Amino acid sequence: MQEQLMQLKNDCLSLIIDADDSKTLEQVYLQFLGRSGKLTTLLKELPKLPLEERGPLGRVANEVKTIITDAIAQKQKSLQSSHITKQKSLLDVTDPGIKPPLGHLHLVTQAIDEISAIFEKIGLSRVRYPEIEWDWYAFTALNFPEDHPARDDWETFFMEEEAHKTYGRMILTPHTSSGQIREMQRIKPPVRMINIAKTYRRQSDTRHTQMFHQFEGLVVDKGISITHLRGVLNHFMKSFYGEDRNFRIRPYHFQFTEPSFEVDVDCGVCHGTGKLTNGDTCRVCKGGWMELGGAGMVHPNVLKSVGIDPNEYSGFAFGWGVERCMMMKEGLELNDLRLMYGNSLEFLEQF
Amino acid sequence: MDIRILDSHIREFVTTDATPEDIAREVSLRSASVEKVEYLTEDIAYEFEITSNRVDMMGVRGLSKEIAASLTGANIHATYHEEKFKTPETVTHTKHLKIVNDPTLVRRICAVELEVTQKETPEFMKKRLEEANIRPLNILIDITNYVMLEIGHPTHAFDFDQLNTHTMTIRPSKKGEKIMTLDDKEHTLHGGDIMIEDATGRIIDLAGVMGLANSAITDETTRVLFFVDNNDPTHIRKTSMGLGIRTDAAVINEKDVDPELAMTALLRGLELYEKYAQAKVVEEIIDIYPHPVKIKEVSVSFEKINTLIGIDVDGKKAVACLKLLGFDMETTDTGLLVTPPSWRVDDITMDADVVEEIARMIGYHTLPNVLPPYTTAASYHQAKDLFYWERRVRDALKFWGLTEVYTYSMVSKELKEEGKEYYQLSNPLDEQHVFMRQSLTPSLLEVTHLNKGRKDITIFELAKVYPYRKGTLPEERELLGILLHGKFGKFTHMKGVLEQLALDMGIVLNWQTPTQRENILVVPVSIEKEVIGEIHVYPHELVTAEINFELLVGKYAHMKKRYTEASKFPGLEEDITVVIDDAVPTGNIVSDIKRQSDLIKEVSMTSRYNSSRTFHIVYQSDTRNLTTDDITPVREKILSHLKKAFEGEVK
Ligand SMILES: [Zn+2]
Repeated sequence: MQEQLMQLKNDCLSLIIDADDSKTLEQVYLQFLGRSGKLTTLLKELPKLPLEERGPLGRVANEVKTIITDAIAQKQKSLQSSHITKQKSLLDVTDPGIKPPLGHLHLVTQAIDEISAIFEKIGLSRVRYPEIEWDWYAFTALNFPEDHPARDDWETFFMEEEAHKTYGRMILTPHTSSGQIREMQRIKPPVRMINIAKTYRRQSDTRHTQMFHQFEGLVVDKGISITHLRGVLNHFMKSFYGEDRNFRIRPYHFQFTEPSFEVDVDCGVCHGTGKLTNGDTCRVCKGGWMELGGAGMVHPNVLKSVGIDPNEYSGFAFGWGVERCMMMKEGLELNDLRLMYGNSLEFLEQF
Repeated sequence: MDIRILDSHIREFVTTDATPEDIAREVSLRSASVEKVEYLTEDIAYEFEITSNRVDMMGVRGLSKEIAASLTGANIHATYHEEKFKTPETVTHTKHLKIVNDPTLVRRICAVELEVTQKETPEFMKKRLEEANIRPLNILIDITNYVMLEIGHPTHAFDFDQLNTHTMTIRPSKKGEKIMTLDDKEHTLHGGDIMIEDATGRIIDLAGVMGLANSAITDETTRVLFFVDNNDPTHIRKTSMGLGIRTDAAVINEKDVDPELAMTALLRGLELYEKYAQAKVVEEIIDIYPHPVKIKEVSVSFEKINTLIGIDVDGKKAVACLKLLGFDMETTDTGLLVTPPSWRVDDITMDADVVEEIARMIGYHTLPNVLPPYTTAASYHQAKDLFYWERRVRDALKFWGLTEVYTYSMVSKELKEEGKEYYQLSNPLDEQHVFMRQSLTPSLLEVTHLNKGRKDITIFELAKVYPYRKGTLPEERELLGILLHGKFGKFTHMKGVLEQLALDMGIVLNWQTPTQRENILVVPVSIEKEVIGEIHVYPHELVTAEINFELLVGKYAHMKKRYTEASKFPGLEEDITVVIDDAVPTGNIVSDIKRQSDLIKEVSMTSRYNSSRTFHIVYQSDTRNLTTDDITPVREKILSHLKKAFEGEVK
């Protein structure tokens, strides 16, 4: 039996040496170690032997098994490595990859996605309200006087529809601020919204399109202050424009906020100095600052128009152009903003 | 409105060590934005942006108050001072001027008759006017403009000898009346404009907007009626916009100038006429002022100030700044009782207005950044979040190779559907954007025309449409529009895209037989029995889809997960190719095959070429291993059924 084992070992080892691919090696394994393999069969004989032979033979048999198993594993490794060596000489990494399809999202979508994510981090939830709206929501409730220029035919689009008895003329929203009124009618304070929607103004040139997008933030609660507005603006500025950028708010005038502010971000081109390294005046900004848009504390009359007591609650709001903020961020110098909605695939496929 | 003012002029009113950079920075932060600082050879020019509510800052004097206060707010020493005007001596009473006012049109009239000698306008005045974009003409006119620049109240000068009578009557114009303004242009009035006529009925002034040619100052003028009229702003705006006369005077007057300033302007003008035109006052100053400005006190609590600004405000500093801005105030135990200056009465009417004054003088930029406390939040349901699905669908389409477009919500007449009512703009900017669209497909088709050179176009848009409802707002709804053109321009491609999108939302779509609409095949897309959209198949490798995305998400999309345990026994698979008449729908064949045995787990068509279709069949049992012996009878049953039912022949 011992001889048989040795013979078997030698036969097997020579077969392993001769095997020149994994398939042959696999067969060698089955031939010796498979369910009805030679060594397996021999090992089944062991229990039939007298007790005194069983011990030493068993040890030898196990040794043989280990040797064969190791040899096969060893050979497996070397076969794989030579296979991969062969592959290496055939693999041309400069061949083009077979790509899955990849289209493009519109620039405005990309900006809106980022803006909403930034505000959701601090609990301002995204909403969207009507684009065809009554005058009352877009102007009256926002404290615009009857004769305010924004109500003129040459600034806002009006609908060829009869005016509503209570809500006035039907318009195309010139700003997202009408969403402030809709939101405060929908829920009681605390209000924390970011309203992003299409807006429309009667203007079309290289810097304006008659359809554009705005995002409007509104927070109304007890004890909301200018410092809270600053906190939210700071979060947006650092997130959207970068940790190294600064912003400032300065006095301005809007009908629906009191106090009202204009918000500036420092210029990314001249780093807020207004001067380029060669001493020339920076043409991107005004003295180191770029105007982003308006903001303010919600006017008490606006709160009253939706039945919120301004002595109990206060709030802040801001409403800016998506396209404008995006252009300032990317330094994307579009010589004509109308390209944005021109839908030339050559344009769209760049982003 | 932007105004351009020289540093030397400001420093006549403000004493300070502040540099021009200090002024530009601190005034921008606390008052009006300085848009530009320009270094001239002997002076410095600032361009200020003045907001429409602050007409008091449209003159050097008013602006100087703000500058002094802003610098003080920034702890830079600055004082504001203005000279007191002396009351003029009257020379003779040669004429007696009578003015009949209409107080609904003109709120105050200050006027004085002068004998003058014309001289060259002094250099400083010419230069300051030129910098302010006003052309110097002659000293008599230049003084009226200079006073407007400095005091911020428009003024006018008549050639007194050109007036036929010495009675002036203020009245509203009648529609169709004709006038010739001093720039020799003829205007036909719309009615309701503020006019001055003499006793003969001759119109001599378009008050507050522009003087008329018939009474204009010339180089020969020796007698002047210097005239400061404070007009009703709404009338001025209507006249100015209606006739398109946008003079500096009109732009200021339409913003509601403080009537208190009228007398200041008159006295300052008089002083200049005396100095530079050797003026002698002929008659006592006329001052018609029936309803002087009423000033209302505003009270504000310290608590309100601190809550709204968000910090504990230094009361002393707040009071000091308000004083510099012209406010009077009393301090009470709990707050301030504030009396605004006459030039701010319409602007300062409630506590928030006073808080604004205090806060801007402290400087908004000095306040800390604090996130608002977050105490409650509405619960969130992702499966019903339209924005979540929008993003998911957009991303899916993008990664399947489609490109997103944004087209206008307003479309041209050509893009609207015949015989359907639309919301229509009453004041469109152009013919391309007039009707509020009710479908995205026409816009997507237009994009393919715009990109004619492209062989393969695969685009989509998610946007609202505005179905028409007479007399009320539309129920705006968001649609998903897809267009496939070129090698993907087939029905099966579009069906595949929609089915995969729906599958991701846990939805199975149903397909109904197409109908023909002119040269388009219309395939309704439905869930259960509800139609949620349509696919349109066009003749030349072009297919579009339009899905009611809001309905899809709002009613059907879900994120429920279900687990089915896999069978422990492996399945057997095979392909069967049969030739069947093209008219037989694949769906019928598949469901028929399935019905032949419980052992058939899955049936799908893998290819269709000419008349032959290949079906992939998976046989599997939940209770045992299947052998070829098990499936042979099943296969025979399938084939004989296909033969019987559809005359199908095995290939
Ligand atoms: Zn710059």
